[in-house]
Amino acid sequence: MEITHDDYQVRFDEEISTIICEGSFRLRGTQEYQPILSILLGAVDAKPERLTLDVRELQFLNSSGITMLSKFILQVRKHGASQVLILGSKNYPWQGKSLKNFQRLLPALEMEIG
Amino acid sequence: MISIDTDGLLNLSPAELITEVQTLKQKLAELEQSNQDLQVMLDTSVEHGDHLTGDLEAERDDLNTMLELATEHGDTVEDELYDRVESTLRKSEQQLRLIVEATPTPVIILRLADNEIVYANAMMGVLFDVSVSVLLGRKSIELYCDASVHDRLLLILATQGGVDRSEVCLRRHDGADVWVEISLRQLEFNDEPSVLCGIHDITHLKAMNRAANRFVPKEYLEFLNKNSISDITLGDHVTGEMTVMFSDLRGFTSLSENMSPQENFAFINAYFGRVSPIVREHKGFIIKYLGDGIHGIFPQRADDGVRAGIAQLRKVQRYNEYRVQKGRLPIAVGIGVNTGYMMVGMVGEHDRMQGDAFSDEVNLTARIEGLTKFYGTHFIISDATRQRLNEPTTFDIRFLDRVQVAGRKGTLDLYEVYDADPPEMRALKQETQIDYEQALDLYYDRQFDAAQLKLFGVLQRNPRDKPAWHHLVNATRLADTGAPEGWTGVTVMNKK
Repeated sequence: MEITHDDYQVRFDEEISTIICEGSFRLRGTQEYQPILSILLGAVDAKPERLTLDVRELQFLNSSGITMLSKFILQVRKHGASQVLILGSKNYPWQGKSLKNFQRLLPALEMEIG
Repeated sequence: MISIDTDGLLNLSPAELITEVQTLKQKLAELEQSNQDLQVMLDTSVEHGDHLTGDLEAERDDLNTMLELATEHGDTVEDELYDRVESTLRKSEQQLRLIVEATPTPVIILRLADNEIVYANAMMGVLFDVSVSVLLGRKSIELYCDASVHDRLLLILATQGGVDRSEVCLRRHDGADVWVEISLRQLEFNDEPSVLCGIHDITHLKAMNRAANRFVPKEYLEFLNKNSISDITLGDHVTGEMTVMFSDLRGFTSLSENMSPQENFAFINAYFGRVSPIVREHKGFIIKYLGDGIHGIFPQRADDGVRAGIAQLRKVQRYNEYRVQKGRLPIAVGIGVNTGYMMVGMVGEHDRMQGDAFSDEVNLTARIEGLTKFYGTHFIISDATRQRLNEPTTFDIRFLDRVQVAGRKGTLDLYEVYDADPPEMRALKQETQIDYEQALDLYYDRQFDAAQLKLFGVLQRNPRDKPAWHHLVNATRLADTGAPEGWTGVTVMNKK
């Protein structure tokens, strides 16, 4: 599954159970984020043992975007089927601060900010 | 409900009583069971409620966490963006300073609110011959020679969004004026609405232009339809009917004999300084100076040339009063004006050229000017000029002579303009003009005796009327000898 836009790209690589988000997420509200959230929830429904969320090339994420990722994390917790790893980058300072907060929703969440 | 009919029990047999007791026991057991079931149901409901409450609380916690996450993330991103904007602004301001510092022309920045100079580059310091710190904090209006120009430029900036290469005069700290071209643009500087002023020093250019205008006057440039002296090329010219003037100082050679070279220059420049502006004031321009003479052109109207001639002669009269007061000899000037077709343009070679006018009419004008000496008058015009006057009646003009000049076929009627004669002479010429002209009509009609008589009458009233004397001499001679064969009355000028 994949969404390609001028500003961003989202795809779920089932073979390696990895969701890759790139570009800038600057969409407005829950409704505009729905297609992206569907890809994320689809990956959770596949119940892989390990699920990786790679946002190393996600330059910008607005507040509606962080809410969408929170919903994804909650879904993971609800299913309880997968161990999730988030890959981030120090190149984008917001990742270091905001991504680790997801551990408040899912303490078992693993994180690598490279 | 278990109800016991106590009165009825008394009527029962023992066996019936036993049965009744058993029935009651059974009902009691049923009630206990029902009671236990209700207790289980109640427990189940409570447990279920607790479970639901727990779920809701967990969900509420999650939502709270999500809200906090979103808010914190919003703050992070806001900070990040703010820092980025700040750093971009700082960078662009640094770049602006770098560019402005490296610009080889003066630049200042004013705060729009109070027009205070908040920045000046090194070149501005050089232009004003002060250190930049002296300029900072001053009001920009103090830089202008004319404060209203400053306000006008800012108004143009506000209404049209910019000012481009406006020529203005600035005043330096030491009081010296600096001519510049100035361009204004609005910009943000130190977070404040400001005005960027780019300045180009044209003081030297102005001085050069002023110097060049002395050699090729701006009226002449306009006449040749040129914007700048640098546009002029050899052979640029304008042809057409124009009025040309030659004026000459009489007896300059004998005057100058007793002067040192320095005195000669001082004298000739004092004279030119007085009469030259008159040509400009009458919509003409001086093509060139010819020794002690002036060669001027009036492209528009013949009246301009005639009025300029009269004004020059009057100026010379005032100058003479001054000279006599100082114990110097008065000077005399002769002026000739003619109108005709001519070419006016640039002649010479590529690296050395000057303005000039050509045509027979130009040469003729020089001859006419020379005839002022012959007739003892100051100002002679050709018939061509007289005929083209828009307001001939506003001048004092009388017929002078019919001549044929050397090297030219045909005759030429000449007229004397005597507006600038001394008041007494002018009044006498006005008074005798009818008789004088009637005498000349008689003369050309070969009635020499009658002409002689009339001219006597004129000269009795005005004995210093030199042209009248000239005609009287001719009339007297012809009255004695009679007109020779082929006589036409034309004065032939053999001398060039």
